[in-house]
Amino acid sequence: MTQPQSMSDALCEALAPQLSAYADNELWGSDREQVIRHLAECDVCRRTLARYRTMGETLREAMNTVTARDLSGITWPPHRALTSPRRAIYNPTRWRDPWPVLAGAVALIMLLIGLQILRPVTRPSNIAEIEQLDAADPVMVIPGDEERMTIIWVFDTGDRSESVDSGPT
Amino acid sequence: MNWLLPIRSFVILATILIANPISPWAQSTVSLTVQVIQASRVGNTIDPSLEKIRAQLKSLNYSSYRLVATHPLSTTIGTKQAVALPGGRMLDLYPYGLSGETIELLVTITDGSRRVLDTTFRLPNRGTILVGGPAHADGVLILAISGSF
Amino acid sequence: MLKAQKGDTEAFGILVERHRQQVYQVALAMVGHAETARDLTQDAFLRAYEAIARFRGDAKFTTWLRRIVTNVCLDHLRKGEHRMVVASYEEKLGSGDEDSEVGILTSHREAPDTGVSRKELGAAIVAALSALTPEQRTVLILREIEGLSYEEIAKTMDCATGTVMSRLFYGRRRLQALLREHHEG
Repeated sequence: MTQPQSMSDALCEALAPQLSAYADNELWGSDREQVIRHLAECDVCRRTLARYRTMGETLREAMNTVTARDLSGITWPPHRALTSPRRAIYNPTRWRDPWPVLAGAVALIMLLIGLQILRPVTRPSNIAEIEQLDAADPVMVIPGDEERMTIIWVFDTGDRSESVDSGPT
Repeated sequence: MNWLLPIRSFVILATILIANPISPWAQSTVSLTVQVIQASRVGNTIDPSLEKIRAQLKSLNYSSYRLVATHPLSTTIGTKQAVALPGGRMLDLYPYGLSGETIELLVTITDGSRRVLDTTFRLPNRGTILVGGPAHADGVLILAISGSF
Repeated sequence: MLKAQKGDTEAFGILVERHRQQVYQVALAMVGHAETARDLTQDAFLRAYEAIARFRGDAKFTTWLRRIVTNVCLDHLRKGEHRMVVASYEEKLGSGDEDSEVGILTSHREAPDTGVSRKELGAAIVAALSALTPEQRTVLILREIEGLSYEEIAKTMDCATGTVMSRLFYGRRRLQALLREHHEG
């Protein structure tokens, strides 16, 4: 493995194991915050994260493709594979008449669609939940409720201001 | 019996899609809107285009609210968006995930090298958060950040 | 379950039918060879049959079964009986063995994609798995295919969650390096 070329490479390298855990949604607290901030700035790590996810999806697709094929050799008791037909458990006559199955499938789909349509439309909530907050100046958070939005207020003491605004009253 | 398999697969797929249309790892499109508002204690007007959030703004007790700019942003989870703010400031928005019916958002406001605000929060779908306070002209800036997916 | 625990082989047979796909999937991903995976799956069910009377129900049956097949496969790989343990990535990819996962995958139709096809990438990833250590391969399979949490993987493999995190990280890094070499080569 080559040595990190710069400070940013060193940071990417240091955060690499956490990035892997972040991809699995297994990172919390300050470690998670650190990775999120780093991802906002680092295209390389964003690509790495995307590759982790692609790799996982592709592996799952590949395994789902292969394993449906041949389970006939796996029976119980094991010697039965040589003597009895595979269909000892399933009764194939169940599927002779497909119309009840089709009717059931259509009914299920109609029911699910109906539930979606009839689901009560909820008013959008304005309660934004602050997870973490940091500022150069004092900050006030006014939590939202059903009637009011969440407000984050920064009391600006930067050089640009002639006087510090007293903020909302 | 072979032709029953596609029907069974269709039923399962339809059930999954209808019950859970959002896959957390899909490249989900997120729409963000940033309204940049100038609030001051000079004058007594509220920009008509701010009608929808008029009540919220009035609760801040400034007498005048003017819409300076609206920035509609269509982006995806994991893609950072930058918006230039008045006074040389910069707003960065980074939607980093979807959690249930909320957008997980990292928002930073910088003023040159100075980090004015750095926050992560969960914004409800079709919800709005107000971020205010940075001084500008004879008053302050207020950002109304809305998001939907 | 209760009948199976009392030695009813018919009842256990129903459990086998219900779970054999999942168990086989884990075995196949771990050893990369269909025939060996079938043998190990059968071994896993034999072990499960012998131990089922002691299954207390404090974990889900699938969790318990998964632990058995994981240990059966790990024992097999660690003994070095499985020739794929030391197979190089390139050997595995170029193998003409139709019974291997790679052989099975390459017989499936193309999926639309940009650059490398999904089928090719799937085959490459599966081949690259054989170049990992048995432990790295196991955590990747339990995470990516079985969808277990770190805590569940740790319980299955009887190790710490930090170890799981480390094995996943190094496993993914190794896979990415192999895939990069393959596509650049």
